[in-house]
Amino acid sequence: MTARRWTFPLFIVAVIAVLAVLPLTSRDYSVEIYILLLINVILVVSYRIPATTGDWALSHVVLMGCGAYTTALLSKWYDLSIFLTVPLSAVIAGIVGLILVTPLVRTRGFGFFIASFALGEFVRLIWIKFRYPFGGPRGMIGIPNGEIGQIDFFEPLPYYYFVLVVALISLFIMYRIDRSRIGKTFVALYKDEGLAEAVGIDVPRYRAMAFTIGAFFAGIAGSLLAHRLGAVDPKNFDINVMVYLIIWIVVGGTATIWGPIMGLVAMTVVFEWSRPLLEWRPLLFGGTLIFFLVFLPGGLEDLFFRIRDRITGKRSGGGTV
Amino acid sequence: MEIGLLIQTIANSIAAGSIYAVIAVGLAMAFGVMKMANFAHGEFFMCGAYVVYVFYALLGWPFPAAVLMSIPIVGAMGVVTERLIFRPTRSNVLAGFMATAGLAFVLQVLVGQMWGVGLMRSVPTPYMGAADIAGAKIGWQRVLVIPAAIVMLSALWFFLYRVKHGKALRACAQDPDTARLQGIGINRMTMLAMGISGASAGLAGALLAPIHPVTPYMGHGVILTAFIVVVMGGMESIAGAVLAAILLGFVHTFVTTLSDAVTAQMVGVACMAAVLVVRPQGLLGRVKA
Amino acid sequence: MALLETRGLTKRFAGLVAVSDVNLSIETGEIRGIIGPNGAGKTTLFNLISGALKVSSGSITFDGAKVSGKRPSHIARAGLVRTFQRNAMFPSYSVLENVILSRHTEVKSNFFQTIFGTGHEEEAHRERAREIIRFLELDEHENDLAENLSHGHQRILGIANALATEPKLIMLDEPVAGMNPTETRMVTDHIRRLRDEWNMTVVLVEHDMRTVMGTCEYISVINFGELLMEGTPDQVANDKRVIEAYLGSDDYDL
Repeated sequence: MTARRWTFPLFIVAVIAVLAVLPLTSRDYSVEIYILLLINVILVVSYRIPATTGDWALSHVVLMGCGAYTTALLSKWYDLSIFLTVPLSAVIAGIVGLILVTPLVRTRGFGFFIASFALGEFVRLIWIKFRYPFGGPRGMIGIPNGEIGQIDFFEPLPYYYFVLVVALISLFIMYRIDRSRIGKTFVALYKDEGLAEAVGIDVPRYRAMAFTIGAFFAGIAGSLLAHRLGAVDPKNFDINVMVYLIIWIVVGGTATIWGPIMGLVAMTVVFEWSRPLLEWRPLLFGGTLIFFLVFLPGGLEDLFFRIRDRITGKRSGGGTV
Repeated sequence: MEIGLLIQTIANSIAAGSIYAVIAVGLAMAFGVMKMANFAHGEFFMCGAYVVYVFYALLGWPFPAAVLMSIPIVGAMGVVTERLIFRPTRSNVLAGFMATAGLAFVLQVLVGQMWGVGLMRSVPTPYMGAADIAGAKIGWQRVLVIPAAIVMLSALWFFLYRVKHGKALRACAQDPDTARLQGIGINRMTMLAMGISGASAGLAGALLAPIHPVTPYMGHGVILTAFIVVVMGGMESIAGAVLAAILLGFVHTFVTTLSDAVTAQMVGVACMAAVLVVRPQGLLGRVKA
Repeated sequence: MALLETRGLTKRFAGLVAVSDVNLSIETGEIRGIIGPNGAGKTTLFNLISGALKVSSGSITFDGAKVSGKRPSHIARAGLVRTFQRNAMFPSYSVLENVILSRHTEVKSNFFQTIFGTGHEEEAHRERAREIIRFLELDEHENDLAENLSHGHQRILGIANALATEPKLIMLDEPVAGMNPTETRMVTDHIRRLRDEWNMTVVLVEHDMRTVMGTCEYISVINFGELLMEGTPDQVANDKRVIEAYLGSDDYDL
C-alpha cells in the first residue's frame, strides 16, 4: 500500500515531464499528431463517463461537434478569445447533451443505442440543413487558431502546450469524478439498477448527469479541435468517426480511466503505422474491433492488469477502500 | 399540390414503405430472437445490391434470377455473422452490436476493393417505361417493389404462423426459457433468425439496385431509417415494424417532395423521439412488467 | 394514523388481477408478517408498495404522504426501504463500500463538494456504515468483496444496504430463503433487535410459515391476490381458511 502511494504520483510526474519535453525534440508533423492525440484523450475519457452507467451513446462525437461549431461561431462572428470559446463550447455541448438525454433516459440497452444514434443524426442534420449560420454540408472554414497576447496558436508548439494544460485539467476533474461517490454511484447503478433505486439512487437523474458531464468534456475536445483545424465539417462528426471512438474505448477497456487512454494510444500508433495500407485500413480497424469484443472483452487494460498480477503474484481484482 | 403529383407521391410513399418494411422486418426479427441488433444490416442491404450488379449487370443473368440469388447469398452472410460474432458475444448485449459496426467497415472495404471504390456502379433498369395513373407517371421498376414486398412479407408470415420451424422461432422470441424447455435449440433458432434477417436485407438491396446508386457506402443511408422503424414499431414486433415502415415511408416521401431529403430525415427522427416519449414500448410493442 | 397504509390496492396485468382491493394498516414499531401460498400475489404486493410496479388503482400512504405513483428512489428517500429476494449487492465493491454507497439518501454535499471536498462528510458516513455492519455481525467481512461472501452473508449485506438509507420502515422479501437453520436464527434475531434497539418498523414477506410464526406479532394472509385474514400467529395457525389455502397449494408445511 505504501509503495503504491509513492509510485502513482511519481508515475504521473514522469508522464507529465515526458509530455512537456517530447515536442521539443519532435518535428512539427509529429507535434500536430500529439495535439490531436491529446484532444482525443479528452474525448475518449469523457465517453467513458456515461459508459460506466451502461449508456454507450452513439451521439458522443456529435456533442463534440456541438463544441466545435460553438467555437467556430463564437470566434468567427464575435472574435472571442480562446479563453472564452473553450469553456463556452463546453457549456453549450453540456446543454445540448442535457436536452438529448432527457428523452434518452426513457430507454435502456439497444433502445438507448439506437435512439442516441438517431438524435445525434438530428443535430448533425441541422448543421447540414441550415447554411446560415452553420455553413451547410461543407461546414465552416476560416476559424481563428487563437492566441494569447503575442503568442500565435497557429504555431504547433505553443498550441501543444495550451492543449496539454487544458487536457491535464480536464483529466484531473474527470479522475476526481471517477473516484468520488458520484463516480462510484454511476458504476453501482449499472451493476444493479433495481438495488440502486431501492436504496434511493434516482437512476434516470444520475444517468442524465453522467451523460451531461460527458457532453461537457466532449465540448472542450471539440473546441480545441476546431481551433486547430480552422474548419468544421459535419462529416467530421458522423457515425464513422463514432465507430473509431468505440474502437479506441473497446480496445482499451472501461474499468479504469487508464483503459480508454491505453486504447487510444495503441490505436493511434497502429493508425500512423498502417498509412501504407490506404483504403484497406478500415478493414484492419473493423477487424480489430471484432477481435477485441470476441476474444478480449476487457480490453488491453484487463490484459495489463492480469499480466501485472501474474508478475507481482497478487490476487486479481483487488478493490479495497 | 395538384392531383397528379399527389398520386405520384402516394405511390412513391407506398413503394418506399414497402422497402423499409422488408429491411426492418429482418432487423426486428433478429432482435426478437437474439435480443441483439445487427449494425451491419445496412451493409447486408448493400451486398444484396451488389449481387444484382454482379449477376445481372456483369454476368448477364435475367433480372429476377439475379434478385433471387441475393436471398441465399446474403442469408448465408447472416448465418456466418451469427456463428462468428453474435454467438461468442451472447453474454454481453452491446458487444455483438458494436462488433457488427466493425463488420460494416470490413464489408465496405471488401466490396470496395473487389468492385472498385468511388465510382458508383450503375445497374441498367430491366423494366423500362412507366405506369400512367391519372396523369401521374411512376416507373415500373418502382411499382415492382410493392408486389415483391407483399410476396416476401406474406411468405414470412406463412413461415412464422404455419410452418413448424417458424412457430418455434416465434416461441423463442417470446420466451426463450420456455422454448428451451420444449426442446427448441436456441442456437439453431438464432442462426435461422439471422439467415432470414440477412436474406430480407439482401432482397431489399437487390430490388432497389436499378433505381438506387450502388456504392459500398449505400448501407449508411439505410441503417438509420431501419433503426428508426424498428424502435417506432416496438423493437421486436414484426407487425409493428411493418406499420412503422409504411408510416415512415409516407412521412419521408411527402416531406422530401414538399421540402428536401435532409428535412425528411429530421422529421423521421422527430417522429421516433415523439413515439419514445409518448409510448416508450413502441407502436405495437409489449409493455414489460 | 398508521405508518404505512394501503387503500383498495389493486394491480391488473393484461386481464389478470394479481392484487385485488388490499387494505393494510401497519403501525410504527410493528413486526408484521405477510404470508400466503406460492403465487398468492405477495411479491406483486411488495413491488407495488416499494414502487417497482405501478399501481392500477387504490393508494399507498406512508408517514402521512401519498407514495403510490412515485419512483422507488423517492419512496426510499421517504424512509420506506425494501430488500430483494435475489442476492442484491453491488459486486466488485467491498462490504463497507456497498453500505457507504447505499447511504445515498443521507448525502448532503453538492456536486462540487463531492468532487473536490475534503472528505469530512465521507468520514461520518464511513463511521455509520461500520456501525450498521457491526450491528448485523458482518464486521469480520468488512473489507471482503461482496461477490466473495457466502450466500447467507450476501443476504445479510442486502439488509445492511437497506439499513444504510436510515429507513423508518424496512420491508424484507423472504429474507431467510435458502438459508440453513443457524443462519435463519441469526437473521430472525437481527429482525427483532432492529425493532427493539433501533425502533424500526419491519414488514416481513415470507413464504415459510415457521419463520413468520416465530418472529411476527401480527400476520396478514394473502390468497389469490386478496387479503384472506389478519391476526396473531395463533389465530392464523388455527384459521380454517388459512389451512385450506395452504392445503390447496403444493406447499403444505404448517
